[in-house]
Amino acid sequence: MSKQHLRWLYQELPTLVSSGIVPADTAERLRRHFGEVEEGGGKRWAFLILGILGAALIGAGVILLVAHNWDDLNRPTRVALAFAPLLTAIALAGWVLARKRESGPWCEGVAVYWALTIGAAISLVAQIYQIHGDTARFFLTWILLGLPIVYLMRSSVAACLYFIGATAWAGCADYSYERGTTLWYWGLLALAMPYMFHLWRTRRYEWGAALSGWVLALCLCVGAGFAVEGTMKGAWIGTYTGLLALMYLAGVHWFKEAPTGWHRPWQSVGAIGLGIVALILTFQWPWREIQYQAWHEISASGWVLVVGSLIAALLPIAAVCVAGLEARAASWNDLDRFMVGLGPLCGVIGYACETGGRGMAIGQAIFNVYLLALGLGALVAGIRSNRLGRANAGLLALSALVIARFFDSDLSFLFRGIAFIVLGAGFLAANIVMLRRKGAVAR
Amino acid sequence: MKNPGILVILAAVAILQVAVPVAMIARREATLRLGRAYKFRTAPVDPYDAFRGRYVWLGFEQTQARWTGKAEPTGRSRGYAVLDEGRDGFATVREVTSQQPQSGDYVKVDQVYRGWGTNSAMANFRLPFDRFYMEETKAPAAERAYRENSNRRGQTNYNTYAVVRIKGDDAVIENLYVDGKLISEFARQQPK
Repeated sequence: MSKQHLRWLYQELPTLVSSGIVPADTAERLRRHFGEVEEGGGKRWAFLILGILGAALIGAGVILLVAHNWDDLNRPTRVALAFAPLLTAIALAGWVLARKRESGPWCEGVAVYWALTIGAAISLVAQIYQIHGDTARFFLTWILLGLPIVYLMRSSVAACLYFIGATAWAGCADYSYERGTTLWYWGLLALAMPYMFHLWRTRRYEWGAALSGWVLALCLCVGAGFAVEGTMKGAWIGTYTGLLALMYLAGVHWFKEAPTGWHRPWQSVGAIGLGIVALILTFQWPWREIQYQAWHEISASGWVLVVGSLIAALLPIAAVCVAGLEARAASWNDLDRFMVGLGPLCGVIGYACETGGRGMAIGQAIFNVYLLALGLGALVAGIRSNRLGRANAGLLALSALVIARFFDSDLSFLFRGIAFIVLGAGFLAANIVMLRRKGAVAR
Repeated sequence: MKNPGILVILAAVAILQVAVPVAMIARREATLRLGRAYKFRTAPVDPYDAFRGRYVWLGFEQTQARWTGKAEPTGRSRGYAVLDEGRDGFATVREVTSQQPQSGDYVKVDQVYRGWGTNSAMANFRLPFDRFYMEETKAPAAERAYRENSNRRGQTNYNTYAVVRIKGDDAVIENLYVDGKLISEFARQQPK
């Protein structure tokens, strides 16, 4: 149970006991079972953050003083100064592991400082020896050397830095390396997964899991694009629809008891991301690119093609299977899982039709209908479960679809007319239902 | 101390983290001490792009040579530029190939792509040393000196060059010279 909930329970217990709802011995047993709520955590964090900030500022000041005389220092002195931050970080980490291992703030603070000093040491050595060029290799060296910090210090912030670094590597590698190199992005992320699984198993609803969840989810949204680019044309459609649907489904399955929206990164990023991708696929240009670009221009060959195709195919298949399993046990209020599972299926069908050379904008039409259904589904689910956020998300998806079609001039007037009538009717119906419900509640 | 094993792991991680930059240093020190020095003529660069913080952005005249590689270079390809020394004492690139040469001096180059038209037998490439780090306050003056004195086509004052030490597949820029003087010296003597 989260500290927030526990505090609420302890606040309510005296009232519950005095009104006879909970017997006194049960209240005592509850207190013994859950233990004391740690107070003053915020103050400790503020103290540590200010401490790190102060140390960083002093360090930066010292570096600037040294930098002023940098050219007058000989090379060995410069090298010694380049290693100084890293060596102090290692010494500090040793002290924390020996004396303060159970202190989250100490572990997190020192881990971040340690991770940053690795980058500083490599950069300074590169500058002293005039080593240039390969930014991707710099990021790769940095994050691989920093990865053990995540496990040693059990640091969620260091894990976040690792994910950001891995995504930066994928971006740089996509720009300058041979096609397919960025597929290693998945391998880099996998290296940090044992820590994440441990975190989710032991501290699922604590700030560290939430923060690293948000960072990983957002990094995946960016990095997946770099990772599949240049493997197979249109691979991003299967990859993104499958990945985002899986994020959402994993979120609703494993994080369903999350106390706040902050603790639900996977549902939020998955739903918003899938909505955006579905909206993009309601336009003609993504499908036209698949049809008209020559294979050799954007497709690889050999193992890169095989692995890229496998990822682009397996992600949507996995998402559809998981959605199927979830939907079997789901009620009408859980319609969203089924609807999200349809996203990758639409992606695969649309992709198959477009690459089959039908040239009838089938993929585009499918996603127009899908986004409409997704918006309506969220709206209906929101109304049925009285969840305003979900209903609003549905209305937002429908509005985005309406605006997109309004500016899309390639569709026939007949199609646009029908789509507008259907959407308008959907809006009216939703508003009427919500107003009636509100009226009933008010009465 | 509850778990002494964790400190052993910490020691192993620390050794690894220190070893990587130390290996970088060892390799460059070996190149600087034992590598052969080549003088690379610099080329004019975009003045708005030349100064980037703490380094002088370098351009080189040698950006094209005969392509002798097997596969077609794509622009993302890497290759090896095989070096010669011209009669004037400056480095020239004899050829660019995709296979690592077994003898002679060479540098690893990237962004290799095929020329077109009359240059279709040639490959364009980027040399791996494209910046020269300096102390922050001196870099702008040095960059200005470099820009004003860098070699232009049709001129004969080939007076700006970088000395690069090469050993195996490692290349380290040793210094940058303007008018035969170290750039830091030259920049110091310029009117402010």
